Amino acid sequence: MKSPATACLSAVQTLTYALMLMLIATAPAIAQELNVYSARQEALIKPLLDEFSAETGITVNLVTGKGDALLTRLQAEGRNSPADILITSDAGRLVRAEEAGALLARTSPELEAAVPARLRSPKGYWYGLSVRARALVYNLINVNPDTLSTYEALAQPQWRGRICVRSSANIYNQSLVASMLATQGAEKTAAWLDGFVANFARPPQGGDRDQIKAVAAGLCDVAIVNSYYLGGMMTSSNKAERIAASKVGIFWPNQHDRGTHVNISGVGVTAASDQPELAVQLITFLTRDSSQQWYAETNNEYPVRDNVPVSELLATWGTFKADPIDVAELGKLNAQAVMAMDKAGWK
Amino acid sequence: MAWRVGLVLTALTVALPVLVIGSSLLAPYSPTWTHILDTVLVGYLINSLALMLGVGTGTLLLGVVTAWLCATCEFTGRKLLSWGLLLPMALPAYIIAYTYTGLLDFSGPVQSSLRGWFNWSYGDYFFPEIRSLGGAICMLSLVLYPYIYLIARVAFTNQSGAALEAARSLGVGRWRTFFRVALPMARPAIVAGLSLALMETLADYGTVDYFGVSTFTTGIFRTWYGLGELRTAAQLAGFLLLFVFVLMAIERASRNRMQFHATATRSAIQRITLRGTHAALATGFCVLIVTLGFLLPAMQLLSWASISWRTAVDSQFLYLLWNSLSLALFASFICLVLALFFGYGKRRYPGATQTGAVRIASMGYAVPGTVIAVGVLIPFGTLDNQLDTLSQTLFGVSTGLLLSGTLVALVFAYVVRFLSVSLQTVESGLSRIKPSLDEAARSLGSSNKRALREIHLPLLRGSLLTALLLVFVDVLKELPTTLILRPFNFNTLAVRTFELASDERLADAALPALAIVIIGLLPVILLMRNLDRGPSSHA
Amino acid sequence: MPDQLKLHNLQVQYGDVVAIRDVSLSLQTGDIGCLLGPSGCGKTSLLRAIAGFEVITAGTIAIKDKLIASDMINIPAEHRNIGMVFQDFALFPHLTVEHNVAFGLRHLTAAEQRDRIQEMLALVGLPDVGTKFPHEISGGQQQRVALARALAPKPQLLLLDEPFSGLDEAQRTSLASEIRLLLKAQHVTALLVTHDQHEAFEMADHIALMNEGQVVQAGTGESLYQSPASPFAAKFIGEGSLTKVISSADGPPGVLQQLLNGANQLTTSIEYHVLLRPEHLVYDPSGVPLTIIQRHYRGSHYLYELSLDDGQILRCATELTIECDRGEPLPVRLTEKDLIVFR
Repeated sequence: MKSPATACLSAVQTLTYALMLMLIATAPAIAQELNVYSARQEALIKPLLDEFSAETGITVNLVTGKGDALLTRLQAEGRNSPADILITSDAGRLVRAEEAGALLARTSPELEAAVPARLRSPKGYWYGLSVRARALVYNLINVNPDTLSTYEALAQPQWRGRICVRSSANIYNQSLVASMLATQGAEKTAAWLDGFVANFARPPQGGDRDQIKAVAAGLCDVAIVNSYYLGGMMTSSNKAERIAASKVGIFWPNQHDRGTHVNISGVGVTAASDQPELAVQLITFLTRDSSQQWYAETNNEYPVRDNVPVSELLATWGTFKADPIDVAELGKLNAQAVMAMDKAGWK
Repeated sequence: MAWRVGLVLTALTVALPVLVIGSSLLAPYSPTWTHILDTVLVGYLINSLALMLGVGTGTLLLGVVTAWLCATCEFTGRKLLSWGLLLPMALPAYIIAYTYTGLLDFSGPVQSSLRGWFNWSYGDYFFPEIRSLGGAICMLSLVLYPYIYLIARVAFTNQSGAALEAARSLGVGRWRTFFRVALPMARPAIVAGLSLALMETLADYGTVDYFGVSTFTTGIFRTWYGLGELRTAAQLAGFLLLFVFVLMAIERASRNRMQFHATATRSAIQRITLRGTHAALATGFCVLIVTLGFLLPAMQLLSWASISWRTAVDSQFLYLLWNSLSLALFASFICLVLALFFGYGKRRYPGATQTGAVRIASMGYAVPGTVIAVGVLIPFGTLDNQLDTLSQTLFGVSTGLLLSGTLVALVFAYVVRFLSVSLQTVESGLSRIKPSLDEAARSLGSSNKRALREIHLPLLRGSLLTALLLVFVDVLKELPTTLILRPFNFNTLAVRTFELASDERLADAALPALAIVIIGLLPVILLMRNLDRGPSSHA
Repeated sequence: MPDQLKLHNLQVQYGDVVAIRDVSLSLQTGDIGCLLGPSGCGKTSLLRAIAGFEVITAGTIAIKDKLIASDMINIPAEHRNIGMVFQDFALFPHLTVEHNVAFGLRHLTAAEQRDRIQEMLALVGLPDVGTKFPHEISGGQQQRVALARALAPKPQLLLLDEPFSGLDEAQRTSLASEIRLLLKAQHVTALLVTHDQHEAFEMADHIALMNEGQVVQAGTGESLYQSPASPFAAKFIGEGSLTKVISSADGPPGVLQQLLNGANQLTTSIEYHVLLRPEHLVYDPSGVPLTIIQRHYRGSHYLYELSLDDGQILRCATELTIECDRGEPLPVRLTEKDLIVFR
């Protein structure tokens, strides 16, 4: 009879072999290859990386995760980190990485021409890949778009109990408040936050799509969301989402002053990279016209290159004036923004 | 001696990430602390405590009642229900939260239909807000009660019928026997299950974040991501650990003097056949819980998956499946071996040092996965870089990173996080084996190893399977640690589910979520079959 | 010939509590010893120390002159070759009777194991239960299986921890004498722990009476019964009463003085205790009348509890023909002249 212990032992052996196989299978080979840490989700970056590999023969390995977690991993691994490239979904993380010494400054005429100066690090530590706009959506029945104007106006008493917005833990809300701090100063921002938070229809919850659905259902009248979420709902395979999206309108705020708030997803070469030239090659690829067009088509984001046309859907929303503030500035003000939101009681 | 030293060293190794986090409490405190204390900390504390209280009550109510019904009563559908009640375990809390939100929030089908039928609009009627503290309590209770149910059911089943009969012969009614004999006798098992549920609650991030409930855990992430202060976040996590430690100490002190072992001659428990209203109530209660905890959310997932399956099934899917399965199996097995080593070592060589070391090693369960990941990243990274420096000075060869970014680091993190689950189950099983059996084996010349292999392992079979299953399902569902520590190009079902869900593509996330649920079901079924044949027939 | 078991100045301590204090004992090969004492006297701790389940803090334990435990040495239980029968039998619930007995026989070949199992089961009179599980046999049978299991590896010493406490009265007496015969026939050296003196008398060649962690008296059953060395031994063994006597010259003599009149004067103390056992008193119509408090029917005789005028109680056995009720006087006289006296 086979004793339970013997059975256990053979199970351990089998499992160990399996694990070793997996290890071997996932171990990076020595051939030309690049390792990428990405805060952009796999679906929103992998196809481009595959295209790059097909064109150049350079293998690209990918790990996705939250920006801060990847940055922490990068730092813990130190100079031996296998990562060559860090991709994040906002400027704040890139600034943090730059300040932590985790990035390498690289410039090339091509990159400088492709990415406008306000969407990249002045010294070339990082470059924007796509632009994300924080727009207003409103209920088509209850709200006359003429009554909408600016983010600032949403603190007025007429909007009491009519506004939905997600948690202040969300990076885009943080960067929006950071832009307020940069343009209006701490005092005005605090006053605006108090009024704005008082106008919430419900405690902040869910994601941006949930805010759009709440507006569509009439639970609130106006929500602040990233525009590509509305785009995603309009083209969703889920009928309920398409219906909800049809009940709301989109509005670009602050068109008569500084412009609608935008953030970027961006990329930088890591300090630990032992092949920065190859890394720059990939970054250049990610900012070329066809790649830029792909962001627009796939995720309804705005290209960083001015010459690349937006997607058909985005075109129907019209053009808008974006806040020209240097996104690096937003990253530096991020912590201050979070504290201000804490004080105002924005959950 | 070798056992003792080995046990303490292994325990300390497993405790390393927890100790790294804990030691942050000794580091200097940044000015951010003043801000946190002034603004948000009290809120975090109150919400966390309320959540624990609510989930504790909820899981106890659901878990103990169902376990007792299934173990000691006979009613329509008991057999089917007794394993059906385990199904919610296969659902990650964040997924059940997504599905119920989809169903019950303002724009969901339930409220929309109500509005349609009665021609109401917003504000005309009251409907409980699902995305609230109460909602989070309900969601977590629904998926966490099986921890209590599973362990308590085994305890109730294995309880001596004689003890219960003794109580009744002393003139104590059936109902009071339950409270005065059955419940206290099953207490170690129930408490073990409860502490698992509560630690899981404290570590939960997905649900509370989605529901907008600010707890200690969301606070940790807010401090890290929002304020960019990893050290302050680690210090917050350190306080969470202190809190858990105190809780554990109180719990241990309260049952310090009690020892529970099965009596020598045990008469099998006689199920009470329920009739009429009682039977209907019992069946109804269990059916309701299975429906709410599993059937309803699973149907919602199915309906979403039916929309999206064409795009979601691709060649990558099998690869995800294999990754998730093998990783979960491997990690749960390592956890089991370690739990057995610790549990048995503590039993054989009791001592304050060993107990303390093992206790610290099992605290990882209450720590959010991301924090564990940081606790693994920092020491592994340091070790790897030190080794590399050493090797470069000595041999002029760079070793690079040996552990960081490999599956070893990931499996290690799983062990740190989930060891407690297997340890609790194994210890509860061991506590039901009389010490005189150990001594009998030794007086017959048997070594520790042999006693473990031939006496404890066979008697523990049920507990071991339970421990394996619990960790397997937990690893399968695990997300944040996997996200941070995984090697390049390595994905799991949970990662895929999360990526889609975090992009608010719930329908697309449904298929991998459903796969997690289905894989989670396989061991549940396996376990139930085994428990039914179980060692209770002659143990 | 060396002693099979020798304990020298043994001490066991749990923290500050001394469970065993300065115990020295020895047991010859083939003898059956017994640790007798009230619960909590440390007899079980002593047994477990010999088995190797408790660590001793001072003294030595030797088997056939080979040291197995001291303050330096502690041979693990599994290497002591000492068999043990547990109070709750501790049969492995997941193994059949055969496999339970075979558990200590690993060093033998399969064939040898089979033979030994059969031999042991036959020895304990259970040749047919081998394939059953422990819960399928009766308590008395479990007891015998536990014995067979402990004896199977031919231990140098067999320890029995309250072996009969889990059994009913009828099983207990018959099993005790049966097991004694069995152990004697196999020349097994055994040490038994019990709180029941009848069990001790039935089983043991030598009895060590223990109290508060110490051996207060050791010897054969007879010597313990007949010459208790302390008031504790006198009270614990037999059904006697340790009766307080105050001899005074003044006033009329009390009933006790009248009763003790015929005994030899053993002490000159004014105040002392005398051990009076039931067999020391006999019914005699011309004796000293004592009030009956209680009458116990013992089948072959009555046992009367009688009250002295100061409330102390004496016991006296009578034939069944002497039938008196509570409250009535029973006239008795002393039959024993050499009474045991403690000052």
